[in-house]
Order: sequence, then structure tokens, then C-alpha cells
Amino acid sequence: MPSEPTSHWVLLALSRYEAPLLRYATAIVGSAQAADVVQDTFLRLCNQDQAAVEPHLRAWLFTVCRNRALDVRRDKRHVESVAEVDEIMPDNHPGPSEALERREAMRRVLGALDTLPERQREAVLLKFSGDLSYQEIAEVLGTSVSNVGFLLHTALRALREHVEKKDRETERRSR
Amino acid sequence: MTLSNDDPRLLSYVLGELDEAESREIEAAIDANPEIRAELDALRMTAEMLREGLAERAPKELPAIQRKVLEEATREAEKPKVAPVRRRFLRPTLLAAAAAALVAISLGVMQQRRQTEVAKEQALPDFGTPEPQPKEKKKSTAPPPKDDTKIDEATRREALKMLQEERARQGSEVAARIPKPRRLSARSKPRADENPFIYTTSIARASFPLDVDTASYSLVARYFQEAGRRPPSSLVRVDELVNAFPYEDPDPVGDAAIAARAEVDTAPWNHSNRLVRLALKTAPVDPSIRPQANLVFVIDESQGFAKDPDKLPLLQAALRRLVSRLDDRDRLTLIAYGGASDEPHLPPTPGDDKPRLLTAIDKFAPSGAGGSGGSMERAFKEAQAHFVAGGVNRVFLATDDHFAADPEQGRLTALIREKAAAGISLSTLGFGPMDGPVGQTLKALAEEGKGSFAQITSPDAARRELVDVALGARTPIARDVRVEVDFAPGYVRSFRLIGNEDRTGPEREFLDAWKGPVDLYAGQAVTALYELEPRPDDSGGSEAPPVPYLLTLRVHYNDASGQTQEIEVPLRDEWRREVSTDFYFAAAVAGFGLLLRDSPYKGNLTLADVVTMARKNLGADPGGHRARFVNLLELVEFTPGVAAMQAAPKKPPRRKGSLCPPGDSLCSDL
Repeated sequence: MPSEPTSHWVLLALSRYEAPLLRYATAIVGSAQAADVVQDTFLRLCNQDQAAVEPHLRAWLFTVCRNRALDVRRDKRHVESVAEVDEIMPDNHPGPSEALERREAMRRVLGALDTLPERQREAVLLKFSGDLSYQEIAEVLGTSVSNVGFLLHTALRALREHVEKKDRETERRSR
Repeated sequence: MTLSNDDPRLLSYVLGELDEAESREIEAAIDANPEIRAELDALRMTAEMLREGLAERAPKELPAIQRKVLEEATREAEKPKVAPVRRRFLRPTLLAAAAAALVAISLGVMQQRRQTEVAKEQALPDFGTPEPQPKEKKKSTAPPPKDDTKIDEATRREALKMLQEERARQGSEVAARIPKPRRLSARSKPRADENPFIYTTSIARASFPLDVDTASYSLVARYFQEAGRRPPSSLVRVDELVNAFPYEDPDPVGDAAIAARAEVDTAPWNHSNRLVRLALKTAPVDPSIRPQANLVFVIDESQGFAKDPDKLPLLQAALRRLVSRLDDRDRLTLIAYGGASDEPHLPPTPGDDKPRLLTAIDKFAPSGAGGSGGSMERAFKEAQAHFVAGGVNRVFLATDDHFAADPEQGRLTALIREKAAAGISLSTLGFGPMDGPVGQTLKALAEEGKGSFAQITSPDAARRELVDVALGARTPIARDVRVEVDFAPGYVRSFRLIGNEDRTGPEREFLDAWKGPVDLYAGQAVTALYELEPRPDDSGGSEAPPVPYLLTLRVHYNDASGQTQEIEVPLRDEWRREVSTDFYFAAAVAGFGLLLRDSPYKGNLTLADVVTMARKNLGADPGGHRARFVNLLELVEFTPGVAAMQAAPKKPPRRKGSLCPPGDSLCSDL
């Protein structure tokens, strides 16, 4: 086989981490600028020494992506919040009410993300959009593994409480 | 062990972060305590919702253009560190061009206004033959090849052949379903004959259309992929095939809105002739700058439109998305088309009043009452009332194939034209299939309204057309663009514009064969191909110019500030040619078109030549379009009746003698 363009290690990394990084960046800067942030991340990767980066590639990518995304967000006057109104295309084929309820709950959970303290929110995004391990999250956020566990635990509890509170409010209103 | 509901280890367990011993502990606790189980379920559920929700709003992959940048960057990083060969770029005057011509200059000249240096050509490696992956339809007899499964090449080709023959057997009805598009005003009747060679002694200045279309390519592909047969040659438009592919020409540099490029090499189908590729490319879309938007949506309010999930619901979803990007400087108006009253469903509302906008979007529903017919007038009135100078002022008409135009269409057209001149454009959005006359009507209306027509069949299309386009990506970055190609009679005996047969009738003047100058938008590209017949060496003797100078491409346009700009790209015929993969790929596509049309100019070209040329010149191929073309070619090979394409070449027709003005002895002598 002649050398294919996709054989380059950066392109391999791209195919593996493109989607998680886009998810992560979207949550921080919005979908419009996420692609720029991710592109930048990989452009920086191009200038790295493969041997040095590869052992902790995922943590490296997310660290760079995070810094870049936070830069972009700082520059932006108006932050496109994660809870951007109905960014999610509504279901064209509404299923049983269960599915609808679940979607509604999902929307609330995502909406509640913005109410979390910054560190917790970051940990949640790295975990659930990037699927990083505790160890990797600890590396990116510069903290300890046990602290990551604590941040996530607290964050998820808060998210659930937030959603339940909303549930009660709607119930009260509908009465 | 006792485990509280509030133990952080529960989450760690759900996320697979615990080691084996710890996991066992948790599992024991689950059995002992149903509350723990409930807690774990709730945690799993939340985790799943977060994963899914975060994934849903994010794009799955980088846009092609950004991927391309990365691919280039990796190539760059891999290159041995040798000083790259710098190309020389010429100053935009003939004088300078002539002076510079004495220096050794490579051929693919890319030039911008007032600049002498441009990104160097990528030395593209030969990517060889990619593993073809034909797209199979549902009734495929061939196993779908995948990256990781190795299929014997001979078996695969055999299966493909059977598949294509099977399609051909069932194909006649399928072929009947493929639309035969009618052409719009800018085109004359489709012609099966080809543009002739024209003597430069008769006409030395030509032009080519910039409002390119790509419809022919998908039709041609459908004939092969669905009906298993060769398309009628009147459907094959070489210019549309060539422009259906993205090319990797460099972007404009600096403030320039347009970049122009000219390349030449031997014509693959006739080795004594030259093939010239002329390409124009506008600057890419810049998402960070967007003008103020004043948008009026006129929405079909029939039951059929509202009930189809791919119509009104899709539009509403896209509008919601659009609203999330509007701010206080923008205005949005909604009007029901053919509604019972002329009152807008949503009067012009500032973009930061999101609750109101979203409610209005969600509440849009058919009234069932008869229409009053004044919706479009009303729409333009509202757009006028909130006109923003320098912004996007646009009326959108969203409808489907049941759209019934106003009975007084003449009046409507006049109104649209008048408003377009005043800066309010009209774009039309056709939801669902748009193959019939309604699609043509909507397209015609959008042309009158200086907007765009888009067929919306998927959320992606809805998002692109309603969010990206509506928010100003479609403001022209170059207005009144004109191109002139001045051939040098000293070196070029005759020339022929490839394709565009329905726009350049042989009797018509080349310069105004289509509607005047056009506006170009960010992210657009146009490729035109000319075949040139060089003047034999001995004809001019010592009078021949010292440089084999073929032509000058000139582009005039008005930039965003209204200033007139001019780009000039001279093209010389060097002995050593450096030509991009874009050139050869375009040549392969054009050659394919000539074969399908059974053109008298196809020379001794065969389908195998086309396949080889296309395969060798895939380039970076960011969207995979070129690879799909190669796959299509493979199907073509197995399509019954294509063997005729390999028949012995016909004799090309005689040159258009009538173009020699009477009394021009030099011309008629040739």
C-alpha cells in the first residue's frame, strides 16, 4: 500500500477523539465555535513529539482543548450557554409519553448544568462528553483522583436535586 | 458493610472506576439494601441522560474544510525539512507579466490583486488506488465491503456486475421516476451538440458563466445507481459535472474577495490540444462576523405541510435554532402564507425576546380558513418597515410541492424584483421533493428575488439554510463579477468552452450568452474548462512571441465597500508543467461527461483512462466526493450499454467557419 494520508498519527487521533472533543467544546463555547477549537487543538498536536504525547494523549487533547475553549469563551461577549434554548431538535416522531418525559428530564439536567460551580461542571463535561477516566480528569483539572470522584458525586447529586425541584414546581403549578 | 446512599463510591462504581475488590463490596451492599439499588439506577439514568444530551447538540465531526486544513498540516509536518520551491507570482499588469515571463515560471499561476506571493502548491503524494467502497442499495447482491473486512477483489467485482445487471433489468420504471429537470431562464434549451472550436482570429475574447449549477451530476449518478443504465446525453452537462466537486484551490489572500487561478496541460483526449482549467474561488465564510438580520418567514399553512414531520416540524425546529442565535439587533417576523388574515402571526420582534419568539414558532398551525392572498405583499412590507442598511434583509418563503403560486404571478414577480433592487431579497425553501414544476417556480422566484432556493429534506439542510445562510453567510462578498478570457491569437489557433451548451448557443456572442454579471458569496467556487488548439510552430516563424503565452484571465468585481477590483492571471504554456491534482481530477470528470455525451471531441479517450486519471488525483478529498466518483465509475463500467462509449471516435466536426467575418482572409484561410 502506498502511504495513505490517514496513516498519520494525528489523523488517527483525530478520528478517535474528534467526536468527544467536539461534544466537550460544544458544551463550553457552543456548537458554532466548537469546530474551531477542536481544529486548533489538533493543529497544535501536529507540532508535538509523538513519543512524548502519545502515552497520555487523551488527557493532553482535553487539556489543550479546554484551555483553547476557555480562551474563546473569555473573548466572547455573549456566552452561548449549554442550555441554549432548544438546541436539541425536537423529536419528529413523538413516542410514548415515557420517552417524552425522559427527553424533558434530559433537557432539565442539561439546563441545570449551568447552575453548577465551575469545577464541578468541568468535571461533569470531561466525564460525560469526553468519557475521560478519573485519572485523566485529574490530570486535566490539576487535582487528585479522589477529588474528581468527589466533584462528580456532588455535581450529580446537585443536578438530580435541581431536576426534582423543578418536577415539584411543575406539579404544584399544574394542580 | 454499611454503605450510605450518599457515598461517592456509588458513582465511581457506576462509572467503572472501582477496582475488583471495591466493586464486589458494592455489589454485596446492593443485595442487602434495595435503596442502594434504586440509587444506582438513578445515577445510571442521570449519567446516561448527560451523555446523550451532550452528544446530541454537538456536531459529530469537523466540517470538511477544517478537516482539510488538518490533513494538510499533517502532510506539512511529515515533509522532509527542505526549503519549499517558491513559485513566482506576477503583478497584475501585462507589462510585468511579460517581464516576468523571461524568468522561468511554472504554469499553475494563482494570483491575487496586488500581491506577489501565495501559499505554495502542496506536493501531493500519490495516494494510489483507494479501496473502492461502492454504496449498495437495499437489494444488493454484493456483500457491503467494509474497511476491516477483506473481500476478494474478483468476487467483489463479479458481485458488482451482477448487481448492476439486475438493476438494468428492473431499471426502466426507475428511470422514468428520475426527473427531467426543466431549465430556467438563464439557459436555453438543452443541446446535444457541443460548443464548437472558435478561431481566435474571429473572436479572441470569451467569458464563462459564473452561476454554476451541479444538478446534472446527481441525475447522472442516479441513472447508474438506481436504474442501471446510461443517462440520456441531453441530461449530461459537463460543466455541471465538473462543478459538482470541491477543489482545493488556495483561498484568496488578505482583503481580496476572490482568488483566480489558471492551469494548463495536454488535453487527455487529444494530445495535440491543450486543456485549460480556470478557477475562481471566494473567501471562506467567516462565522465571527455577521451582519444584523431582518428576517421575515412566510410559511405555508396548509394541512399537508403542517402534518408531515419533514416539513413544518422541521422548519420549526430550525427556526428555534435560529432564534437561539439572534440578538437584540435582529428582527424576526412570521407570516402564514395564504392565511385568513394579513396580520402577521408574529409581528417583527427583536431577537432577544426569546420567549415570545419561541412561543410564536411553536404555536404556528394551519387555520384551515381560505387565504386572502396578500401574504407576500405583507411580508415585504414588514421587511421594509424594519430595513437595516448593510444587514441581511430577507423574506423566506417556506412551502412544499403543493405550493400554488399567486394567480397574479406577474404582479408578484414585479414586486419581488422591485424589492430585490431595494435590498430585500427573497429566498425560497422547498420542503420535501422538489423535482416538479413547483421546484422550478420556487427557484425562479428566488432568482428574481436575488436570494437562494434550497431544497430541505433533512435537519442538516434545514440547519444550514435557515441558520447559517439566514444569518448572513449569503451576503455577497463580491458583486457584479465579470470574467474575461483573452486568448493570444499568436499561440492559440482556436478554443472551445467545454460544457455550458445550453448557455452558449453557437450563434450568440460569447460575452452575453447568459444573464449579465453575477454576485458571488463567501465559500463559492467556479471551474471552467477550455480546450485550446495551439497554433502550429511553423505558422508564425520569427513573428511568434518569445513566450508561449496562451491567455489572460481577468476578473472584475465590486468588493464589499463598493470598490472595483481587478484580478489578472496570465497563463503561459511552459515546457515543464506543474499542475494540481484538481486539474487532472476536473479533466477526468469532464472526460467522463464527454464520453457520456458521446461527444465528437472525446478523441480516443476511454472509460479506463478516466478511471485511472480520477484515481490518481483524489487529492485530500475531504468530503469523500472524489472517492465516490471513482466508485460511480466502477458501476458505470458494469452498466449494460456502456460498451458503446468505447466505440471508435467520430471525426470531429469542422470548425465553425461562419464565425469568420466576411472579408477576413486570414481567418477563412485557416
